[in-house]
Amino acid sequence: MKRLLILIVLLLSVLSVYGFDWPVNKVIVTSTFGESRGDHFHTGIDLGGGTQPVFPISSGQVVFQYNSGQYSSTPIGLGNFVVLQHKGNIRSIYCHLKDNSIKTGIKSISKSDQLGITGDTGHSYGKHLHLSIIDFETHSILNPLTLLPPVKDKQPPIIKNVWMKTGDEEKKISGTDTVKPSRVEILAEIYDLREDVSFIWKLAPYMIVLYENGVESARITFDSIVKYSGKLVLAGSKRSFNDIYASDWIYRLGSIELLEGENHLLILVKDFAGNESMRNFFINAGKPK
Amino acid sequence: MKKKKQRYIVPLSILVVIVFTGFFSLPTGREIVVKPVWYRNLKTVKIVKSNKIQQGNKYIWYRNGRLFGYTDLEGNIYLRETGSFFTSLTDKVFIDYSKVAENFFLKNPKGELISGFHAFGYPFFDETGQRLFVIKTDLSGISEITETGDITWEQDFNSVITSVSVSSGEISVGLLDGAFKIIDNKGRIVFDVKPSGSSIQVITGSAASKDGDMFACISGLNPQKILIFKKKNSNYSVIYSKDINSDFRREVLMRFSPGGRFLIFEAKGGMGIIDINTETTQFIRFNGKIKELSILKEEGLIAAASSSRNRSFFELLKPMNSVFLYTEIKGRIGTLRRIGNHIILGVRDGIMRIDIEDI
Repeated sequence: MKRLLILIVLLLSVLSVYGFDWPVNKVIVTSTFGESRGDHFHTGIDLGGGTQPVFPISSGQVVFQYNSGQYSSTPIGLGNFVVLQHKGNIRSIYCHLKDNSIKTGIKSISKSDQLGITGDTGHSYGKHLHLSIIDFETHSILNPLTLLPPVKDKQPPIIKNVWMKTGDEEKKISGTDTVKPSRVEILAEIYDLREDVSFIWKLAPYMIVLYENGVESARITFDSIVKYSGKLVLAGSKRSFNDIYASDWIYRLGSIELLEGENHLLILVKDFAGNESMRNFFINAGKPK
Repeated sequence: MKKKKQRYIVPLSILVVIVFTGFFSLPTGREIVVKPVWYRNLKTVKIVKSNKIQQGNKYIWYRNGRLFGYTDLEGNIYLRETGSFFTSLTDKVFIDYSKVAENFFLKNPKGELISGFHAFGYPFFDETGQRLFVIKTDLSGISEITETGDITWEQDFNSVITSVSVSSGEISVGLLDGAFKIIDNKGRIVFDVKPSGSSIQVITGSAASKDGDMFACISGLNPQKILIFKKKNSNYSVIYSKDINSDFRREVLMRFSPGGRFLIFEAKGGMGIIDINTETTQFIRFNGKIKELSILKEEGLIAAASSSRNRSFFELLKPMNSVFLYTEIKGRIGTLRRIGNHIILGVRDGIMRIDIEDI
């Protein structure tokens, strides 16, 4: 009973800190946390839905903002943006806001106060809101989808192609392959899909796990990003952008040792709504001649 | 008797004047003469054809709104282009790039292509044009690259870059989490501090002296502080720290004078000047937000451009003295550059040269 009470108290305290709301009324996730941005991870989520008002995910204090025309020592890819500080030293960042839509001179803001309007300023391909959440207590960039109310999504992620790589040689795994026993790197083309559009619009999954002969050999989880050895890495695996991405949707899952005989590979992928996909591969490693 | 007395009046008066001017006169002080030399309307001006450009020409870059290009002290316009999204300019080379660019093209002041390469992020040069940096579009990292696109070093941050200042060797980076870092020319963080004493931590401005011996930042909210760091035997220590009454929640402009004696920064309702030698501070009331600052002469003269809504202002002042030239400019104000004792100022649809003579 006592344990249950402690658990409830803990749960409530977590909920009170992270009781965040969506910053827009029409929620369409067009880009997820951890996606490739050419040379770095996408450090937030993108929300489409055209022009719409932007609200704070929780009440907070304005810490920093940029409006076009304002002095800046560097070019600003985030466009017009506002940073809010919430309880627990968590800060939320709202980017690419429409010119002149940010209210200036405001120090604190409540959940119902409009922050600005979604726009296309900065490094942006169309009107959207980029939302980032940083925990300055743990020094980690958090995945907003793990903190915001759940998104509706029934479609499981897709494991499109899988390759094994030795040196410069890449071989697509069909499912029943015969190779020499060796150490190979496993690459996989994986993505989730937007449900609200009829064409292919790729999103990053939440988790990818690679099993080798029933044993977990690699796990990629897009839940938070931290700094490690001067680079931004995924918090759990400590893997950097270049360790994860071979190209935009092709993930470096990890290296495995193909032992003589049949090797069983299982790739399990989860999206943010909890939908799962998995694929099995059997690779026969023959005796080297 | 009366006549005899009158005879002495004139030579005595002359003698009094000579004695007074010789022993009691005070210098009248140096006068500063501000002289507009030329104005070129960028919409109508004739561009010098590239085959008529002489070898060894000294180009000066300018920017006004989205228009940018090159001029010289005589006011010849060699290039006038409309920028795509942002243009990083030096007197020798420029990169104009779109907001979603993944390729950089370096061009010379004639607009001829020097090199092109694939890169992510937004490029910017240091003031001398010798060093090229790339800032990640999400402001989470910075790198230095060569003019062919090779990365010399890079640093990532689990935060957001709020301010960058470049000296001859080091570069300082201010972050959203309140950290202020100095990175050497090999990409190593040689100084890392998070000023305390404010209820909210954030860096809202930074400056680096030309020689890299001094750095400064504006830190925190409630209260906001200004700190100056001095390099001594490759270590940095705080030589000045003071609460200021501002509450900036945006980046503010701050610069060291070329000789490093003064730190000039946007203050609440105007400009603050710290004399580092005497640790005295001066406040000068200003209209609007300071957008550009240029310091003429080693420790001498500050030229500033500020704006408030649709009004622009140009001011000239001496540190620890008052504003001696103040003028409202109708329309926008663009480039404010110092070339010796000349100022190139973007005004309305054009650019102008103003000479400052100290007589």
